[in-house]
Amino acid sequence: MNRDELERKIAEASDGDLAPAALAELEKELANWPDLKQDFAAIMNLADLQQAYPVEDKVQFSSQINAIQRQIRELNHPKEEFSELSLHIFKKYALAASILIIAGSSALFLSDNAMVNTTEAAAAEEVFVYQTEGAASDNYMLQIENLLLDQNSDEY
Amino acid sequence: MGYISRNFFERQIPELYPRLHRSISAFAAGSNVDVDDVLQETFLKAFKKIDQFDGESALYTWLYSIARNITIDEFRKRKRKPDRSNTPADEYGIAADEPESNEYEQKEIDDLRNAVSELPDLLRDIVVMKTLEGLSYDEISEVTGVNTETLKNRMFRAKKELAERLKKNGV
Repeated sequence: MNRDELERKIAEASDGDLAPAALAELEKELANWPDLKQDFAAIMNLADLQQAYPVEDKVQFSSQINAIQRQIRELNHPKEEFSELSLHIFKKYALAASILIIAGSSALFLSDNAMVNTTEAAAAEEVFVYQTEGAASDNYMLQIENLLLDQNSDEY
Repeated sequence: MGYISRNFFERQIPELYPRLHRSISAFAAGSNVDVDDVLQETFLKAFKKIDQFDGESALYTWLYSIARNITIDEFRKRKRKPDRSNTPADEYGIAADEPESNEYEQKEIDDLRNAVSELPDLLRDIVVMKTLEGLSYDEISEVTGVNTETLKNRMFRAKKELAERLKKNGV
């Protein structure tokens, strides 16, 4: 093994990734490399770095975590512009609006027809009343004429 | 439709945030980069690109690579001006009335964190991903674009430097 290979083996050994047989072979090889053997011993005696950097509880980061989650929700549901919002509402309620418009138009049309009918009825009634009134007046005139004729006949 | 839904992603944030915070704190140690700002940007960026997540890597690895890139950009913007008040050792400060044995342990932890923060970015990156995150060399290769053999050689150099710095500090 050359120097680079030995360094890599030392790194693997210190990571705990070397099998016992491979570790024994490395130690045997290092006998020929006194400086590397010294480095190997120093590296294997290093304190555990995990112990120096414990993972803190998530509770300690709650404000930072909440801030990130809030921003993510805003990104997910951005505040809509008024025009976009109006369009969105229009699209959403387009069917309901169409039905309302049709219903409204139909109602207006029907009420107009009803008005026409009422007017026609009124006109018919007016004609009928007029005719009745006319007939009464005719009778009245005839009665006057008859009276006048009677008076004249008496005079003669 | 992407590999995961937006709702699922949102629900994962509380679980992923603390782990990412630890790793990016370690990665950004010694700089004045605000880790919370980096993570906020990370999650929002990931959310916007959620359709691009194909599930080939774990969600965490994908997020870590985004957070790492944002942190590197911040390093470049600030040209990595050291700000020792923001080292992890100070972040996890010791309470004044802790017993002596705890003080000793805490000193060891602080020395270790300081040693990590003094590593060159290139080496600290590997240490964080492999040792803290437990990513495989293949996954680190995916994130960094560096082949696994080079990564292992860097890991050797990183650990050698850590051991030398700790020895110098009498640990």
